[in-house]
Amino acid sequence: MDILNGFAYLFDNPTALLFVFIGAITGIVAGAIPGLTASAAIAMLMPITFYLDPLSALSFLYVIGKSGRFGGSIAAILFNTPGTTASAATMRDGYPMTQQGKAGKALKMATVASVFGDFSGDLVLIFGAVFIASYTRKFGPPEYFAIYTMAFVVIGSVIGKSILKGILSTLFGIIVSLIGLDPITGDARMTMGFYELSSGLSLVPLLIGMFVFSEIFVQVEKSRQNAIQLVKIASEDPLANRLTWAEIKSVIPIMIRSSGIGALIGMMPGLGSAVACFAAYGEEKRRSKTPEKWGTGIIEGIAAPESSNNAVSGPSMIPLLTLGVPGSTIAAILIGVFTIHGIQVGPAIFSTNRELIFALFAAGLIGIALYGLIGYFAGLIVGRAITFFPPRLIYPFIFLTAFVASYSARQSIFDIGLALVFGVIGYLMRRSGYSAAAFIIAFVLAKGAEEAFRQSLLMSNSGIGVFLERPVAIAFLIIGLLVVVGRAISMARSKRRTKAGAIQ
Amino acid sequence: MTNHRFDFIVTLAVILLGVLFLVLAFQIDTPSRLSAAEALVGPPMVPIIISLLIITLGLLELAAVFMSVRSNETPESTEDSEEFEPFSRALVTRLALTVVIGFAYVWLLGAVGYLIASACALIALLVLFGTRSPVKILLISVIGAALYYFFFIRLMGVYDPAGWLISFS
Repeated sequence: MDILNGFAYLFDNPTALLFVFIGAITGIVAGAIPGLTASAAIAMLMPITFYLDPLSALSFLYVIGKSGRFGGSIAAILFNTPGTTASAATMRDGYPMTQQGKAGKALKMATVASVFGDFSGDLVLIFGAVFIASYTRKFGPPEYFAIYTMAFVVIGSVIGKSILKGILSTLFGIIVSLIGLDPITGDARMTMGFYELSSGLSLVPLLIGMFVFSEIFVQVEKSRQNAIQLVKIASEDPLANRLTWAEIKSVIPIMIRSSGIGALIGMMPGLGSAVACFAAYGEEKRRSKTPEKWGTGIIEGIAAPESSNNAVSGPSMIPLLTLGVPGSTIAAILIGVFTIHGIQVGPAIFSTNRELIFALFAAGLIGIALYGLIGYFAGLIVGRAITFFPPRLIYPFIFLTAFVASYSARQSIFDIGLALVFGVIGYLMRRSGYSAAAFIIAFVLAKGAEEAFRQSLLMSNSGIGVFLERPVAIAFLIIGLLVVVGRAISMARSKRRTKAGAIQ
Repeated sequence: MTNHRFDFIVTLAVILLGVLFLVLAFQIDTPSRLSAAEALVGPPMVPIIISLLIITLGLLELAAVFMSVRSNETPESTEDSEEFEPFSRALVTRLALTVVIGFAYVWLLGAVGYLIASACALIALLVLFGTRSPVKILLISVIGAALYYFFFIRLMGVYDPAGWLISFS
């Protein structure tokens, strides 16, 4: 079986195994530090992977993404601050449990649910990706352009509070990616006479600017606030910090349903863990016989969002590997790593690099086991360790790391300036409701979309009508349209309900 | 600054960016070696389309901002909304200082190399983020810069540019 060959390939590479271990720890710590997300950590550490072999590089960053999603729950439970947006729903019951002296139980529940969700999602990935890739191999430029358009439109309309701002964020990402050389003719475009722009903008400084420097600016706002406070978490009741098998058994149905929600959401480009955690929390609360208890500190309120947000991880790789379209920001960053190592993502990857891909899946499974062990037995220790380092000490070093990371990608001082400029832009975008994630995903996809568009027009006699002659292309365009319309209707309804509530 | 005023300024900036990119797009040459069909879908086409879309949607967003001002609506918050401090002189000063520190770091990197530039940047950042003890600031900056120098420059082999003022590389 392919996955067994993947394990063999991975175990044949001790460097990759080492980086899986380092990735598990790095992701937990990065996710647990309030404000520092797994995406930001990956952006900063990406240049290090240029010096590694492809499997080590991809495994490292992939496992950071997984363990980072779990790490966010540590901050949510212990500090009442989500370490990542994916843990925002976990806070609702996690922190009350900490206040009741049950922090250990809450962390163990988060660990079990995260591992359950992540394993479930990875099973979907391992068995689903190859199956889907066998169909997508037949797609040509018109189908790919329709898929890219659907991705832009879905990402733009679902991320954030405003459809217009979301789509503007994707358009901004597209136009910025067009700076540099034309992908078909090789002529320079929109470089404004800057030699440094002739090869286009590099992904690494943009990522670091949008995710790391913008977060540093946000932390500058908060820099006058107190250090992270850890409430007294010791309890005299020995059972308060233990998670019993009966308790785990009681939430298995919740974890199964929530993992299903997370896996479905993970497959759709742009939706991500933040949507999954709230969708699962809302659904399980609705189904519960005691919904009034949700939000007061119950393990069900942790099991649902944690299994859902981690179940996103594996399936979000499916559109990346089968279509070349990232399902999440982390997947978008991984495209950059694949490209740097000379690997073309898309359905052909299962023919050209089958062993590597299944070894990556194996690395993901081992990473899940590792962060599960660390989280279950040492989650509280990680939390306590973070309180020793207040944000006013951590963020200057994050600034330094971001600085050297943006420099080391191309050994270019211009890239540092670029990262700073996009840090300011990213901060202003966040403040005004635009989406950095939509910008980055669009930036990564735009060149491929433009090539597919122009190739489609060149190869057809019917001009723009070529997209309406292909059933698969029409289907993807309709999906995109339905998502926008659905989102617009849902937002209008929500606005009417809010107005009606205000009048009452 | 109110939310609406900030929204208005940002939306105006988006439209102006769209106009800038449109101007740049019209300056893109279509190579004469392309056939008529290829020239139709040549280098300027997609940038022009995207710039026009940015301007159009930017104008729609501007209209939405005006409408929300007229109806006195406050922006709807969602469960995952970020909370920001309102813009004040003190906040803008701190943010501007952070940007200045960043660009000063870039300049220092060229002038004195990575080690000294990093130590100076750390001192400035530690003060900005609220560390007050001079001894702590100095110790952390020196040790931190040295560790980073060792890891990134010596171990990873990142290029340390020779400073035009002082050079250790």
